[in-house]
Amino acid sequence: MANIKLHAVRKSYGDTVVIHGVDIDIKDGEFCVFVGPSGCGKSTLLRMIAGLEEITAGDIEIGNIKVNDLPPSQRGIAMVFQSYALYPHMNVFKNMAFGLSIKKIGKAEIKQRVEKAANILQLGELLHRKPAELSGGQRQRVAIGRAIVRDPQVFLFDEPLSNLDAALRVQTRIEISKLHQNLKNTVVYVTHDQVEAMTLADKIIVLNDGYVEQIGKPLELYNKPENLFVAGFIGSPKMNFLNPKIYTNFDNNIATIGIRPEHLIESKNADFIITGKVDAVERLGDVSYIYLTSQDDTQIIAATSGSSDVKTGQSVTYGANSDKLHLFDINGKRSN
Amino acid sequence: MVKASHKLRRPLGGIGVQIILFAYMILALWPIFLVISNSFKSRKAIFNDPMALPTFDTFSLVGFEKVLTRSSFDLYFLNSITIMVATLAITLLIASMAAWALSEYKFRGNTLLGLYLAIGIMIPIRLGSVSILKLIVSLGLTNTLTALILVYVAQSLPLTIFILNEFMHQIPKDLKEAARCDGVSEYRIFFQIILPLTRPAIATVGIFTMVPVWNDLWFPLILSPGEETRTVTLGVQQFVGQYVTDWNAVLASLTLAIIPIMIVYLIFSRQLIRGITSGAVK
Repeated sequence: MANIKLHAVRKSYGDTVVIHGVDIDIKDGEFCVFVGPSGCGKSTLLRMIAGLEEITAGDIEIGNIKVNDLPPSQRGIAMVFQSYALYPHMNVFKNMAFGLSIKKIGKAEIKQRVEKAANILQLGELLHRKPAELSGGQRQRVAIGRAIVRDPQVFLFDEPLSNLDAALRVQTRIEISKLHQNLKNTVVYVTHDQVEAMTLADKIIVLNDGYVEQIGKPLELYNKPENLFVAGFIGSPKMNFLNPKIYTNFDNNIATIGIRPEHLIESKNADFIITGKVDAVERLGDVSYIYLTSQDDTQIIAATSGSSDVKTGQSVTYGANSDKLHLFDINGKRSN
Repeated sequence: MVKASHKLRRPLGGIGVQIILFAYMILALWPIFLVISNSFKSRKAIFNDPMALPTFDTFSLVGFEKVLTRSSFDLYFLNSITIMVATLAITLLIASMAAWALSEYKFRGNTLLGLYLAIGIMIPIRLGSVSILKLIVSLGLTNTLTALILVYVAQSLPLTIFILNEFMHQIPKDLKEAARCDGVSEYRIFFQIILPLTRPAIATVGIFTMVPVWNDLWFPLILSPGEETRTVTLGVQQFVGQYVTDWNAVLASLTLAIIPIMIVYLIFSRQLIRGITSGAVK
């Protein structure tokens, strides 16, 4: 068990800076998710923690030990790769045992540890199969098993679910969550999918262009995004951004108003009113997404109940209460 | 649509390809067939009708008898095999390690070194025969198998490194990194992960290396012509005279010479299993 501290960590390739001085503090046993669009530096940051990528400047501590110059194997980490990276010529058992056999651990203990991990992940029947004979989900579980047997202080996951189909992704997501509850190791998990981030994380770190945009609990990020980027990135469908000029009652320093689609209600009596014409309606059963163009030509999405009978082409009025509004200043910073 | 475009790209179709391959096979195997069938015939029968198969009347093992009793063919065989095995082992070990270093580690002069090694592919080693002979003489290695092994290793390395380098580039980076996270040393990564994964490539270059070495006449002739160090190809020459050639013996020794290389080929070709990396990633 260990905490992780990143202090002013930077990374550059030549003149190109990809991580601009990042400070992160991950507590022991915490499930921390790095989330951001592709190319934001989240994988690079994870690989720097793993020791697979050198640090240009700053310090990384794992369990209060500075690990800047330690090789990956001495950092007490185990990594699960996006591509699984199973050794194709070894069967499942050997894949999981390989790292242990190098550490001169006795055969009996290796067998016991592998079987324990196989039990947790329901891999018992597959121990003698080669990776090529496994399905994507099974390979993913073997990759996680290989990390578990090493009994690391920290698990590092690099987009582990992105190669799975949608149904399996949800199932594996829940399995990873349960696993963390049982093992209670510190986890750093990288994903570009904000749903994965919201469902799994104790703490989310939103990254963009090599900067940390916000650090917080999932609902903090959802309820109080500190800036426009986080507001737009967290939540699905995306938050609506409106120009305050045509609305009254707003300070001059407010440059953008944000409203989540689910906070727009069909009402004429709310604090904040939008009128517009419906462009399209998506009916998902439990919820209907209304795509409309407002009076100042802004595209807006409203999430209404599945029973809503709004039709394309219809003029509608939506409203939101003022406590549901997110106000941002000219620099994109939150100001309410 | 898919089928149509498929047909366009292969105008010959499956059967056409098979016919061409079959014709080529006959062309390639015909000399070998002649050598083998004639080696079991009497001298008279070889000249009377070279194309005929040995019959009850013309069947004769006199060639094999001569080769096995009146010359030290077993010694030539042993020499050839020693040279081939040693060359293969040294070449494959050194070349795969060099290819791994070139493809995996970034160091100054990496590209330059790779180019330097590739130049060897373009320049025939026989151009340097005189200097090689001088070098071997001054090293005191004339009439030794070591001389031949060294020359053959030098001859085989460039192409072997080049091909293996390409293969090693294709091994997913994640595999090596997973191993490094597992605390596997660089040597073990090489021997226990990279080598098993490049086995098909190693088998291929093994065959490429082995055939010219086994068939070579030039270097045994100039570097190690002594009785004790003769190779099979050189040994056969004693039956080829200026005025009379003992065809029975020549054909019999050539037939015998095919056997070991066939065995080695079979061993390697079993390794040429496709898709050995499937299941590694994704």
